[in-house]
Amino acid sequence: MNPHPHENPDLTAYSLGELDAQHAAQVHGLLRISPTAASEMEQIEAVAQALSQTAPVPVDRLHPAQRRAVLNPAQMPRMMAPLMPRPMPARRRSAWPVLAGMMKAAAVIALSLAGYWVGRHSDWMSSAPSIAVDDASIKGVPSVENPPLVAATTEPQLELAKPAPVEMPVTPDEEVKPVEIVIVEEKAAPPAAVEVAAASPATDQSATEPVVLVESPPNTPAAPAPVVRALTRPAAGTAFVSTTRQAVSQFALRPADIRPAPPQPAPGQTFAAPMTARPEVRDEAKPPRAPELYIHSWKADVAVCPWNPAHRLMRVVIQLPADQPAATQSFSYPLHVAFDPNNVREYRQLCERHLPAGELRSAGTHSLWYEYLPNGKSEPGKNVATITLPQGRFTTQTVGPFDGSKLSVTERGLDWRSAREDFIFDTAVVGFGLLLRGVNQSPALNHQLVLTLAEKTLDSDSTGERRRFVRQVREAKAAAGL
Amino acid sequence: MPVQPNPDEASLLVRRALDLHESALIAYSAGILNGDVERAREVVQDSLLKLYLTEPAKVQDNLKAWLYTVCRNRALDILRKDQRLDLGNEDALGLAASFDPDPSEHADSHEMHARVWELVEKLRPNQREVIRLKFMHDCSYQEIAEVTGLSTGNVGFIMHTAIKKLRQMMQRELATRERTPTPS
Repeated sequence: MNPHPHENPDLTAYSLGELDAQHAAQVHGLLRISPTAASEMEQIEAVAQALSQTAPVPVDRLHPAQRRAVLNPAQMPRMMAPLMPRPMPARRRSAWPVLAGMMKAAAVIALSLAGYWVGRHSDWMSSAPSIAVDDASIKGVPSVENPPLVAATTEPQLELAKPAPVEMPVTPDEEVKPVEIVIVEEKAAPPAAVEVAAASPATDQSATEPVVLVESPPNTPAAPAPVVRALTRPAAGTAFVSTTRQAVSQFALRPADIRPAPPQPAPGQTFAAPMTARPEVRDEAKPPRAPELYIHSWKADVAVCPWNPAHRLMRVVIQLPADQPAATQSFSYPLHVAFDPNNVREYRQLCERHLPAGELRSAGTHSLWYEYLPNGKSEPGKNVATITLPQGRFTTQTVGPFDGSKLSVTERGLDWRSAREDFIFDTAVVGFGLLLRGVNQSPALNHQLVLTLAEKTLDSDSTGERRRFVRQVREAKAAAGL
Repeated sequence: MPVQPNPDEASLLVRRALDLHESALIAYSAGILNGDVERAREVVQDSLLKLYLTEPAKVQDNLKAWLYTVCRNRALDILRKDQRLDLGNEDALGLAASFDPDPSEHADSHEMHARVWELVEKLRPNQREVIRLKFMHDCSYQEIAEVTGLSTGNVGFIMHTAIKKLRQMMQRELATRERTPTPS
């Protein structure tokens, strides 16, 4: 107990009746022997008495409507909804040890795999010269007249051809810089890497000749499309998310990505500059305000997932005009995809894709792909998700949703076979992406299913893009030994 | 599978909370929300709805402290969203230091007692809160500690400091009035 009466909280507690018997007896003894403490106690009691006697009496009550809502909450489902999905703390505590164990096991497996992968790749890099010299196939070939040149030129080909489990496209810029390149016409259509592997044992033919590397002619369909610059981003997290824990998927939409790239001047070409451009002066006190984002239209498609009939695939496509101020600056705009917890149990984002505008006056496209598991029996007409783009404005009132910046996605019970061709083809592309990334998915998703999906859409392949995709999937399937 | 509370039992608990604490909770929440009674009503409504969804066995023994805690947290959330939460309360300290009563106002010590709750408004927020909980809502130190998240000893210290501060303010005001000449 603090002996100084002015700094002794026990005096206040004593006057308010908050002390237990032992402490109260001590304070009582102090008051008997200390006039200062007794005087202090009198003043405390005077203030406490004033507070008690003049305390305002609360008189405000709830409004009748609020009272009804409190006493009959079952009649107010809209008010109850935000409070329902709260997590139960006890359940979370019980699940934590299991989750922690699983996370540790996953970390150990991931580290082991990473170590194996790094070790394997370091073997390739470090043993490449010895492979070129000691490999049985190399020993079996007749001796060459110019060994140093052959050894130097065959190494990169062996590195590429032997160990790759998945086909890697061979580009002349990367591989053939140290050697002379002769481009020949491709007779059949085998993969480039396979052709190189077949040619590598026959180095006796090219002992004194430059190495021949097969390359597809530039006008064949196998060449990548030079105009369309597709920026496809896989989703950050590929695990399913329960809608009771996180019903809203939010990310940033960057209109600058859909603007076509400016033409690059030829090397050595310079342009006259009549006057130097003035640097833009910005007010440091006020951050620049994001320009409004204009949208041509947006739509959402939902269909049964081809590799998991219990799941659904959802695609959201937004058309953004490229000639708007938002496309020239690096602002980003929040886009919310809020899944209805009543109708969707869990979901995951599969990928996000930007298709830049072909030219300045056209529109670029931004696509989102989700896979979700319906909650209970899936029935047509149920609301699946609500997509909002708070700062979005539509360029035409007759296109797109009419309720401000909100797009409601409903379940239609559509089978993927009945979906539009572009949806089916995009589904094939997304499925192929999942295969390449090794994301956990149904075992029904394989190269054959991707091919089946893509081949159904070949009838309306105006640009040849779909046939190129089918060929690449076939090559990947062959390279994987399937 | 989460256990849903028995609706009949929960309804009885909500009705009991309404009968016993409705007005006091509104006044307490309004005190945190700078006197905004309408928002205080919404806070109390939300808290009672939350009570309806809570298992009665967990709250019925300390219903009062539970209600005040939920109302306090909800009101503080609103203040944070409005960015009006003033934990330092430097303005209130300044007001308390420069408190200058109206010289034309004459009052004796009895009237000073009536004005003590006006002086409470000039205390720090934590002091103001424990004074209100103790003298307006009749909460014990233990209940105040549960509501505010402080220890019981801390509550006692804040209460002691608040009462001492109130006493100083009252004495200063009385002294000022005594020095002021009375108009004849």
